[in-house]
Amino acid sequence: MDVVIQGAELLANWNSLLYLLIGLISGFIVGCIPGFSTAVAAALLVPLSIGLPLELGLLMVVGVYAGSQFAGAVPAILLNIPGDVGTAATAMDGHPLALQGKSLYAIGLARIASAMGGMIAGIIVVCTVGLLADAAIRFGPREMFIVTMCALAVLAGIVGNNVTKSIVSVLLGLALSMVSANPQTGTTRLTLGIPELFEEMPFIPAIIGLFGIAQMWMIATRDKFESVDMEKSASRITGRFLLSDIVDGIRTAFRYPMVIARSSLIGLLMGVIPGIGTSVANFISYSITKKQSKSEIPFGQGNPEGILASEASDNAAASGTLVPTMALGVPGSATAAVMLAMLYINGIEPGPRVITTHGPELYSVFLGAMVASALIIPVGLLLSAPLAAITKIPPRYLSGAILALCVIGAFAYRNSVFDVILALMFGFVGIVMRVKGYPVVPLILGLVLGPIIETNFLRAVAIGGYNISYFFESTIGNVLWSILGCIIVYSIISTLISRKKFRQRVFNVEEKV
Amino acid sequence: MQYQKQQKEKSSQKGRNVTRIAFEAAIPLMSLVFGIALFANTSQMNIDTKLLPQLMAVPLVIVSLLLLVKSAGAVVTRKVSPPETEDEKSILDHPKKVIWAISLTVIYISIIPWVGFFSSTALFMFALMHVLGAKGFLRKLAISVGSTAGIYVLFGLIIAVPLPHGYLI
Repeated sequence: MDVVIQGAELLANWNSLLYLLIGLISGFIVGCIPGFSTAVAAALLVPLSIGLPLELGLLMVVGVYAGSQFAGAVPAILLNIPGDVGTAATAMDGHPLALQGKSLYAIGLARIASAMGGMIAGIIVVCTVGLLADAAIRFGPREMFIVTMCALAVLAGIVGNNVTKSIVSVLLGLALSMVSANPQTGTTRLTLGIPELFEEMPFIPAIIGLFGIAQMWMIATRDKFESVDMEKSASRITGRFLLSDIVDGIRTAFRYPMVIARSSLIGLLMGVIPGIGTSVANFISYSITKKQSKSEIPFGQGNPEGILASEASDNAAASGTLVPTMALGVPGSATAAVMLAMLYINGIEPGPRVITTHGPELYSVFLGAMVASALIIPVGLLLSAPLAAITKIPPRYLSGAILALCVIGAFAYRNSVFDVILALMFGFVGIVMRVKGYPVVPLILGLVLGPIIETNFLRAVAIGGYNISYFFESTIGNVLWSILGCIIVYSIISTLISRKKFRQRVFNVEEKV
Repeated sequence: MQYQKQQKEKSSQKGRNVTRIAFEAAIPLMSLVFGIALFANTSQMNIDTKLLPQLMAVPLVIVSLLLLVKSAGAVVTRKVSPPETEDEKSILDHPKKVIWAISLTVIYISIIPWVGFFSSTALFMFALMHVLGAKGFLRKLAISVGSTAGIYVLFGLIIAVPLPHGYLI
């Protein structure tokens, strides 16, 4: 308890809060730009942190993390161009709300959910960091493989109406992710001798192409972004409406406490497991919320629960990744890897001992993550409201600038022109997929999960001596297999029940007619 | 006169149907070719390298074939179902705008290494606004140059990220 209080004392001064705020605002600005991930924003601040006391540098990165995790929701909602992979889940319900002229309300929901998710996860992390670190260390390649299979099974819940097309989309994503060098043998597969593909099929250019470039090409046919009358919606950017937007967002968020609590927990757990990535948490939360929801508003058409689920888990996962990073020295995400670098620069070796050797700094980071989440509410209000005005600009003036941003985002990922060309190719794929109703999100998820599945599967197989029974010899593994089985059975039963209800409804309507 | 109008409408409708069938077949065809290529490319490799790619490729090929058969049915029977999505309706109603947007983007990305990022960005924005129907030469010039200058300030100076470069500016 003493060390927590010491951590709070480190945080409770103007200098610490200033650097936290600098990080938050920087993260917000960079996070709004498609293709600029949280890691890029954090890495840009590392040179600034040299010379600063350790806790100030770490607080700045924590601020960047929180800011950019939320900021990715803004272009996702306004333009259907996710700032990061995870915010594609936010876009599924956020953008339809924006098209209904409720962009500020949707951003308000995202803001409140991000804040609450980060704070809930932060409280749990502060109270249980030791336990969470113990749990994280028990996850080896075998358990990671089963977790990713569970993630795939859960994500089946967010497929579109056409199941065949959704299956093609996810299989295409998984197959495309195999275009790389095998992680164990180094043998390249279908890379055509292109060095940029040896490491991976990069998913940032894929997101930029499938969402950003394809979206801008489609919007070229329209006179306006929103489908509501622009004159009516132009009056929304006033103080009175900003306030009502905040009140609406808070009121809506408190109507779904279970959604936020459950999503925060899912995000925290996904963040604690190193290597899974925060983006998967968004989709798992979204999928589970969709299955549990009794709302009459269909998901994918502006259901607020979808936004709340995605954004709460997003920021909760960010807090979760701090646990393996600080307590085990295993970065839970690319941004956490930046924080790890800062620890090493300051001569600190992260690991189980760091809780005793640098406890106050560690807890100031965890508490800082909570404070940064709370600050999202006022900072998000100030910065996102002007951005919402973007949807008032006719697409013929805006498309060019956004396409230029897409080029910058694709290039900035690895300083490679090849990534820009790749984004363009994915743009072609994206436009055809959108026109014929193929869901794009499963393809992105396949690209993200494919390498994780393969790496962990091959490692587990090698550790187990090519013995299939190895996958069933761990208690945690068997619990995960049971969860996977339950997910599959539940998905099948709920699909059969909803089809039966649909048929009954149709027959009842036909009888009445 | 009326006969010519009817002929024009007929050929336009035929063009739309051909476009729609092409769109219908594009993704399954691409997936089929890619699946077969991945399977063939990894067939001579050791089990560690080829296991998962082939596990992904086989169901991809099967499902793609099913979808191709369905779209081939549309070609044979010449029965095309109504547009499934709003995007499909938009693209069929305004094909020229989409083709221009795509073509200009391809040209833009191609000329960056020669003309330079900032020059090509300004030219691209101007040209895109023009083909999408924006009015006012000075307005288009101001927006394209102003936006490019803004990009330079934000990305080149403030955030200082590397940008694509070419022989010119």
